Formats: sequence, C-alpha cells, structure tokens
Amino acid sequence: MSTHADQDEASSAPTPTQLPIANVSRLMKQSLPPTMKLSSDTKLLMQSCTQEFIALVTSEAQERADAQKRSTLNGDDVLYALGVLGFDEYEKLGRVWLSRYRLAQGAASQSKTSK
Amino acid sequence: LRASRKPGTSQLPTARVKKIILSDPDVDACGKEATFAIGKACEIYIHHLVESAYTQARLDKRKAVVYRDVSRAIKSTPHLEFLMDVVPQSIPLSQALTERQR
Repeated sequence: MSTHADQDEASSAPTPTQLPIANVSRLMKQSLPPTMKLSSDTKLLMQSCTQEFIALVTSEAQERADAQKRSTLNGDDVLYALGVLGFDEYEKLGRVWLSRYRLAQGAASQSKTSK
Repeated sequence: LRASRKPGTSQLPTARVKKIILSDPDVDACGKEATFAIGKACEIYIHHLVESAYTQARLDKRKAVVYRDVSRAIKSTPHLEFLMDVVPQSIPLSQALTERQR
C-alpha cells in the first residue's frame, strides 16, 4: 500500500540534489548486456542508493578531516572513508584513479604554464 | 595530448557530485580530488550493484532488471546495511496492519 508513497512525497516536497537520472541510467546499462532491460523504478532506486552512498562516504571522510583539523575534504579522506566502510576494493581502485588524476592534472597545469 | 584536457574523467557531472557532498551540513569545503574520488566510487558502486541485480534477474529467468532484483542484491551484499531505509524490509501484511494501528 505504501510502496509508492515515498515517490509521491518526493514530487511535492523540495527534493534533495540528486545525480542526473540520465547518467545513472547510462552507467547502469554499461553493466548489463544490451538485450537486458531496466525498469524505470530501478533507475530511481539506484539514484537514491547512490545518494545514500555519497552521504555515507562524505560523512566518514569529514570525520577524518575534522580529526586532522582540516576544513577541506581531500582525496585521501575519501579513500580512507571507503576503506573504513568496508569498500576495500574501492579504496584500492581509488588510489589508482587518484594517481592518474594527479598525473593528468600535473600535465594540464604544465601545458598551461608553458604557453 | 587531448587526454590532458580531460584528466581521469568521470561519467558523473562534477558540479552535481560536489553539490551533493556540500549538502551535508558538517562539510565546509570539498577539494577537487575528493569530488573526483567520490564520483569514481559511485561509478564502481553502481556497476557492482547492477551486476548483482542482474544475477538476481537471471535467477528468475527474466529479460528485465526490476526493483526487487536490486532490493535482493542489496540484502545479499555486505556493507550495504545503510541502504535498509531505502529498501525497507518487506514484512507480512498482518504485521504491517498492526503497526499502522499504533
């Protein structure tokens, strides 16, 4: 009886910022064979799940930043949070992504200064 | 190199991810690396959850992934207890009616 109550509430009350459903949907499809279909309520559910995930990781990352008396969250705070929350694989992958990101950022700023 | 113009790209819009992070009242500021790292973590998270839901759909021999596939995937994956409010436990009708009367 109340399965769609949350969705009804969401349409009348101001909704918190969400990731765009198009991006979420695209990411979901990338994990499925092309013949597989996705029901629209699944996309909405995934959007909410990702929202919760961000909130959880952010909260944990903020605790670390607080403990180190910093006011700005950094990449290591996020990696630490992922590890603490049990997403060990994400933490390991995260280190790889961050190192590539830092390399790319370094290259980008070098090309700017050389002009 | 063209690649240097799109460093370690994310498939989620940075500004939106940042906005969600900043909606936490305890957060003052969020660096670019943190936004990027969370964005990438989300991509992997969605990937794993969908893969898991897909397994559930295949078990039921369906050609579409539906709500309960994701629900079951969540319940069978460790560390996803925080999602229990998003997908409430389905309880017997009699129990639901009893709780409603309280």
